[in-house]
Amino acid sequence: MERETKRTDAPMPDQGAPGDPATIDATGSEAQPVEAAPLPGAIPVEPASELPDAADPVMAAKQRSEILKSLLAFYAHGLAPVGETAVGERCWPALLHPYRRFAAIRHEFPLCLLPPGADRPARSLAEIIDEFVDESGPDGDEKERLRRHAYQLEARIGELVSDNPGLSLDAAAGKASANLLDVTPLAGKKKQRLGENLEQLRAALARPLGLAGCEPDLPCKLFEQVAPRHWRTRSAAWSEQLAMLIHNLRDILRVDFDHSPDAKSAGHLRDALGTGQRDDVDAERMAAMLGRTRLAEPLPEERRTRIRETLETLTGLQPLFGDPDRRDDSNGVSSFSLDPVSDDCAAALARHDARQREMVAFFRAVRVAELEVSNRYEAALHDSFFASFDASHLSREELSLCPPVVLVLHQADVGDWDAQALLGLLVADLPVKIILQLDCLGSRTPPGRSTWVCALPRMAMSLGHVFVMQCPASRPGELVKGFARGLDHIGSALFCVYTGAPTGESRLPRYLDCASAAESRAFPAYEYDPDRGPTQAERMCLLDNPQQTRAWVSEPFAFRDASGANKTRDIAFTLADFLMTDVRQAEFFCQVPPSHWHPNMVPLDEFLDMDWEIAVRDIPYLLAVDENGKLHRVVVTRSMVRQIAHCAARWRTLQEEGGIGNSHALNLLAAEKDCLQQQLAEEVARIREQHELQLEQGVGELTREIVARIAAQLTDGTDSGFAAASTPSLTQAAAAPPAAESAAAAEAVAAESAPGDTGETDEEDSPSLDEPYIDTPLCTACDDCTTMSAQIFAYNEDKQAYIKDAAAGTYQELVLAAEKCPVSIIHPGKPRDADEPNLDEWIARAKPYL
Amino acid sequence: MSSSKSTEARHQSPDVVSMHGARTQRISEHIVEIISDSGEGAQTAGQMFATVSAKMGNGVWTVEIIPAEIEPPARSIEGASGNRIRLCSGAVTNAGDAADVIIALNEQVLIGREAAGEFKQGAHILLENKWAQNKISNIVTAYNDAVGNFKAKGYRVHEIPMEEECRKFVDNPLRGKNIFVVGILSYIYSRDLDIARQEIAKKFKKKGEAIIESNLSLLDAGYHWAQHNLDLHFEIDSPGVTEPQVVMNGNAALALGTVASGMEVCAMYPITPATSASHFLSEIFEEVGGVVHQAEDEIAACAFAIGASYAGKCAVTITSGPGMALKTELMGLSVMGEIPLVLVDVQRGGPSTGLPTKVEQGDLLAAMFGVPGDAPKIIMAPATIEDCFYSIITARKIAETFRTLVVVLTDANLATGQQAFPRPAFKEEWLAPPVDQSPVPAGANPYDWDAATGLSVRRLPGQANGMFTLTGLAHTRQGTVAYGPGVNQEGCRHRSLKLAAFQKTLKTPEVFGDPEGDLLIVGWGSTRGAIEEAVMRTRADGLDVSSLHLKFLQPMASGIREILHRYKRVMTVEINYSDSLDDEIIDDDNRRYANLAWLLRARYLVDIDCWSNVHGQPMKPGAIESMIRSRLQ
Amino acid sequence: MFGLKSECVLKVDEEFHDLEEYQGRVARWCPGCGDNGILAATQRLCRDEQLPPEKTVFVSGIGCAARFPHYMGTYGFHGLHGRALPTAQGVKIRRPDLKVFVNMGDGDCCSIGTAHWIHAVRMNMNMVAMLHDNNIYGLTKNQVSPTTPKGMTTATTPHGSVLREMNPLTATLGITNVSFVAQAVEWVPDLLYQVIRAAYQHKGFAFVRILQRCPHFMPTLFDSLLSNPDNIMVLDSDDGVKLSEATAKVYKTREPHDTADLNLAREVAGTEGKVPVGILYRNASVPCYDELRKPARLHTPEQARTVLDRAFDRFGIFPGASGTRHGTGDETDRRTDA
Repeated sequence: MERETKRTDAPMPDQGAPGDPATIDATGSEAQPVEAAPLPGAIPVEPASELPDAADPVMAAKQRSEILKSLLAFYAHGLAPVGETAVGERCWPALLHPYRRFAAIRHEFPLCLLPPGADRPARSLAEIIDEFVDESGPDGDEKERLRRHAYQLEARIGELVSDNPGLSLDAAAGKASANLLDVTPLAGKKKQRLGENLEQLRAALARPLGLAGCEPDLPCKLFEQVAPRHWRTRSAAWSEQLAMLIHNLRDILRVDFDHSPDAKSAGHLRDALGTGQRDDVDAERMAAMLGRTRLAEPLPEERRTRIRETLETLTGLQPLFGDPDRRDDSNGVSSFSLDPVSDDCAAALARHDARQREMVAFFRAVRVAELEVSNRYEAALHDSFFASFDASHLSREELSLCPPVVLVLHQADVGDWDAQALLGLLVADLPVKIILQLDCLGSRTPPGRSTWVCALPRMAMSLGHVFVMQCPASRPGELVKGFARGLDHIGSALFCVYTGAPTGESRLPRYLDCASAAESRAFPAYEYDPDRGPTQAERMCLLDNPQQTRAWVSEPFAFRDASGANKTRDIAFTLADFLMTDVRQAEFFCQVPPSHWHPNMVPLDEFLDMDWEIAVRDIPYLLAVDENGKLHRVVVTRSMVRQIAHCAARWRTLQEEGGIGNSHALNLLAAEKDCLQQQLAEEVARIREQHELQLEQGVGELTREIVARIAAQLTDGTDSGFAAASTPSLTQAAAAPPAAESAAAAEAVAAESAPGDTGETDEEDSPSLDEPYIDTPLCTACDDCTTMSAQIFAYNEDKQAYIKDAAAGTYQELVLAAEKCPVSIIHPGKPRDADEPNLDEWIARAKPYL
Repeated sequence: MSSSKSTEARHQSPDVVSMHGARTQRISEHIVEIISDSGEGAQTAGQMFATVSAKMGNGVWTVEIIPAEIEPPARSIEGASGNRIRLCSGAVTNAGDAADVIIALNEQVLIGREAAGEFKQGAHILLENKWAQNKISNIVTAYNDAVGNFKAKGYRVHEIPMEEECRKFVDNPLRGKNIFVVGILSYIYSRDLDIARQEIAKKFKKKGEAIIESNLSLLDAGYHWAQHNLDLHFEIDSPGVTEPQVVMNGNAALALGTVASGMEVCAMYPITPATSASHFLSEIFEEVGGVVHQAEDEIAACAFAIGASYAGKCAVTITSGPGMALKTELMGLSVMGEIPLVLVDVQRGGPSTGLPTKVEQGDLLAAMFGVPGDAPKIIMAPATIEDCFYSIITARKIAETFRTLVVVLTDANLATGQQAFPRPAFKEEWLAPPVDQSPVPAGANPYDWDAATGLSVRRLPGQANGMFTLTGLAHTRQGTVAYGPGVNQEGCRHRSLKLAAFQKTLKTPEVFGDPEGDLLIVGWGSTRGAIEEAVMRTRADGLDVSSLHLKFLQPMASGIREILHRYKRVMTVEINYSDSLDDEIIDDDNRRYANLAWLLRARYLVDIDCWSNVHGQPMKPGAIESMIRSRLQ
Repeated sequence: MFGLKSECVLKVDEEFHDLEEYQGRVARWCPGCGDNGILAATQRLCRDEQLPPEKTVFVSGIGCAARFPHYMGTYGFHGLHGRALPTAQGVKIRRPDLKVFVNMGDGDCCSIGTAHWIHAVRMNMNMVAMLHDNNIYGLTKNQVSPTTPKGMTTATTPHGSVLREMNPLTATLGITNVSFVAQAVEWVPDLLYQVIRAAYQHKGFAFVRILQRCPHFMPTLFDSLLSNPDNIMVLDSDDGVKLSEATAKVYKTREPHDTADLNLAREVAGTEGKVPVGILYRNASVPCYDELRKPARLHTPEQARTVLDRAFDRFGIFPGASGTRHGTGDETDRRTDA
């Protein structure tokens, strides 16, 4: 469970920070109260206490079967059993028990929404406060006191925000510190200290920043933080290029004017000459003079109009991207505005169509401009092209510069009739960014809420080209990152956010509600980004869900048994645990009074592990704890068990898509492994064999040598270094590692083959010496030979000489050319025509060049 | 609180006037000189006083007094540094003659100026008197000697305890003494203290409130001290400003002209007195995408400019005489390749290194004939600071239209003189057109000389099917190198025709005075104001003299010949060397004339006399006046 | 931009430039002159890089080598002796779209243009500078040049030149901001081509010294290299030139090299006896003057107006500044109201 609050996304504070109390585990042993308690201390939550499990011995068998019947009836048909049945108003799933005193827990919220200039869109209040406290001077009591007061303030601000969303940081800080001071039990010096610290903090937080709590409006608030920044960074470079393009187009027109007769008119010249009061030059006469001389060509009329129109289109949309040259004044900044369409797919489509028409016209103009600026526009060639220019022609870069349409959908308001439009624009991959807000994940949905909406992310993902993110509101860090990536994606993007059940529908604080949704696998956090690459592995990414590799999150649960002894047991947090807190799903749950506890009741996780389809006499239950720390058993219906099973199955698929226990991979792996092992075995066998062979040879040689020497010795008595000479050959043979041997062999082979190869190529290269030829690559293009005889010699496309046609000239010419060639790369070869006059001389002179 | 002060001041001025009414003199113009060792702020004081006066609508002309060294020794004769302000009720066109009031922080700096005849007979000298009590005895003697000397010469010396007075308001009187001086002058010339206060606030904005306050107090201190201790008070009509104006020196005007011309490249190499133009240009040029390139030498600077111009961005290179000499070969290339180029020569004293900080008009012939071979180019000379601004715009336009080199000759006098002129109204037409990248029509040649005018359409890299190689060698209209007998003749002819074509567009300059008479004085460049003032004065005494001023020196407008013939005598007045017939061995056969005189004589076959000197000083109307009188005796 | 050329606009409008298009007028160098090889290699480069002829400018000074631009089918500037570099810089400063090449002889670059050579290296503007080094003044007929080997007899040193020749490589490598130095010999076309190409692809001022034969005045100058290719030391580095098989077969002397090591480059440049060829030094991170001085903002009429008005305000005097005419008071008032 700890992940929920430990998670360290931006804008979460670094949980490692000293004195940071935010970590909590299931037993709550480290959880932190916000008010000053000894640090680090324990959240004073009584461990739950369990009642005797074993049935009362006096309970009659008959009675037992009755109970069992009623329980089975509930399990099978949802018929309420005898006795108290509804799940207690303040009953929480056992594992959530430590979070009872929710106010005592620090988490990402409230968030401070940072101004456009800041390095990121948002930051958690906790982070800001920690930063302030850490820098507030030397460690010590003073600082510690400040820290705790700060925590109190933080908590209070958090409450304020959830009550009135519009509040800004400075306002909230003011209010909070004020009423903290009112309600504080402290008095005298202590109270004064509190006052001082609060004052300090208030000053530090006196910034007009917007605040966001874990509330239904969170996704939109964050998106509005992210999108404009994203647009600015994206369009920055382009706005420069656009300005340049516009500038160059204007220049063409200015030059054209300079070519025009008007530019040679007396009026213009008078101004252009810029003579002060007394003008010494007579503009009239100069006009006459210039009129006589040839003017530069004016632009063709149609080109001029084309450029004018293009300019209009470009300047028309320039504000959208901002004019870099006017950054100083207000006209410089981008006029990009988000204004999302809410709950109306048709309207979104309409807006998209309008915008697309605009952008197509704009980029058509951009391209015309590109061509015009480089004088490459040819009516014959391009008119037709641009006539047919439509959205399909837009390049990725261009598409990325079309401001997105934003559509916000609330589960409550998505009608089935929206499905078509929605699928339509997803399938068409239109650049629409959809924020889908869910508030009901159970199968029982109040009228008007369609369940298919919950499946939308998975459906969209299956399309393959849509960016999909699913993430609960409890993880703003992921949301911010996801929004940015979704905006990077050129086509459709679907951001599906669970913002918690409507107020009153859930037993949990909204933050816990959202968190548990992910925790229970009901709403896992993941992201599918088609831009990451072609493969599923690259695209699909699970956003570290708790205990991601396992089917269910399972945590140790501490309780006190009847005898009062502390015990812990690992229990799983399933879909049921989550839905149990959802009032709308009440019908699936039934809280069984201890009197009716029955041996056939099985903890849900165990129950799921057995083949429950046929286990007809067992009843699954889950543990709940009420506000007094009393443990209760809650049994669930069969249909809930089915939901759980489906949930598990969906999670399993996600895991596989996310690369966890991917069955294909596993199978392959296994197969690979086997075959590798087999190869290895063979290899080993081969080497051993070889080795033994060599050993034998070694021994053989040795014996032969010994024999020989003995023989020699017998002939003459000298004893020359016998052992010395002998041993090496043995050791060598023995020690030579097979690997090295084979390597050496390989080299040897290479060594042999290499010259062989080149030898061959050589033959191919150099033609027989009889034929005249030129070492073309060495020709320095000095023109000597080509000027001497353009019939014989010619240049190739690299302007290097070759013999075009030796027959086109005499042997004499060849030889002369060879002599003339400054790099002597012309080889005249042997004369072709034996009758050529005084051939002998030429043959002689050709010698040095053969 | 400043407002209370101002009202107070307003109340005082009239009282003062009435109080000293008897001794208050009405004047229509005055010349004031503020001098000190350099670094004592006389420059600042002068500029501030000038600006205040300009803002009150007075005609103002200021001349910087600059020592040759950066930090000359204190209290040295040649160390004189400061400003000379000519103050008129009406417009003013030149620096005028001798100073009426001189205010100096030590006596030494006065000596050199006095010797140079810069002070009017009986001028008022206001002098810091702390030197009289100096510990070093020979300073005391030097001071007393000088003062005695000045008195003997009839100057009215007012010894003022400036430092002592300042110490009452600030700890370090060396700083801010100059503002005390402004205060004194503000009283003497009944200046508007509010404007003075604004100027102070503007000047010391960066230094902070405290500094501003102490300077304001010094201003008032000076004013009140003078009011109570000086028997010196002038009134001068200050009509107020009716149209927006700008006050700047000629080099700043050149810089602004460069921006206004749409040129984007200025290549230069440091040389006095031209460099300050580049200083100011460097401050603002990049805001319009321009670049001031300081090259490794004068030659590189010119080559750089030519390269930029060849690539389509007409460029300017700003230099002075010695620099232009180095650029000569490239000037030839610009002419030969018909690459537009604007070359500004801020003339200084020559020959060689000559008088780096002083004025001369000695480069006219060098500009015209300095380039070997026949190198026709256009030469123009601004006569006023306003001219400096507009001339660059004109020069660029002509250079690009006629594919030619335009040399603009200003001089040290314009470069450092400050003058107010009507604020120019920007015209988009001033700007150079963007680089032409349109494809070249088939069959067009890089030098399609028009048979009659020699004009042809320029061609720039980037223009498709226009590829050619520009060369400094003789070339055909296809741009191909050729040495055939006809080729160079044709090239030179067409390049020369362009000048003729341009000449046909010039207006005949207007005569100042009567269309005919006894004497015509011809001048060019910065001397216009002085000459016309002298003519005005002498005509007032009934002398039949007129003047003609030339802005375009090559080519020269039609109609000048006729003008010259309508006068009994014609002479040029120039700031360059010419032989004087007073020298025993100088006669008509060996006399060397002033630059312009040579040209006029050669072109118009009129026996034109000249009067010129190379004192390194701006021409004084008085000097010209007396010369005229002597000639017409 | 935008991969427009690649994907959007029909490619048809970009015609292919073949070698012929880069051929200007017929080269008129002496038969066997090394400049021909340099010309061929350069034209090949232009073809392979598909440089638009109208966007390519060859700038030269005066001398045999300086005829180069005339023989290219691109724009050219055949300027003044020694002034090619500053001219080229002027061309480039406001025309980043132009590809600029500079061709100089040894007199042009190392004698009359020395100041420009040093400062061009320091400014490091984006261009290729080729030093056609034939160790002699050819066009003016056989005078000693700064790179003429000591003892060589020339028209101006009939008893042999007295000064030791200078080494342009070590000189260049000694200058601040040096960013690319290479050497090639013009008679090894493959090597020459690759060196020039590397120079072209380098961002910054690429200085290439090319040993060039002058068969007319220095017929035997490079015999030791021609007859004995082993005297040519090819610098081997991963990012260096890769010789073709044919060339590699002839030039076997190889020297392992590191083009990033300035000291090593200087050492190699100073090698006596053997001639190092290939890329001696390369450092693309040296800032380029043309980029440092690129327009801060676009030059538009509006901008010119703004800047001028700002300046005029600075020097400005405006109506309303009180004047004092010493007449009747109301006169003054009327004026100040006006």
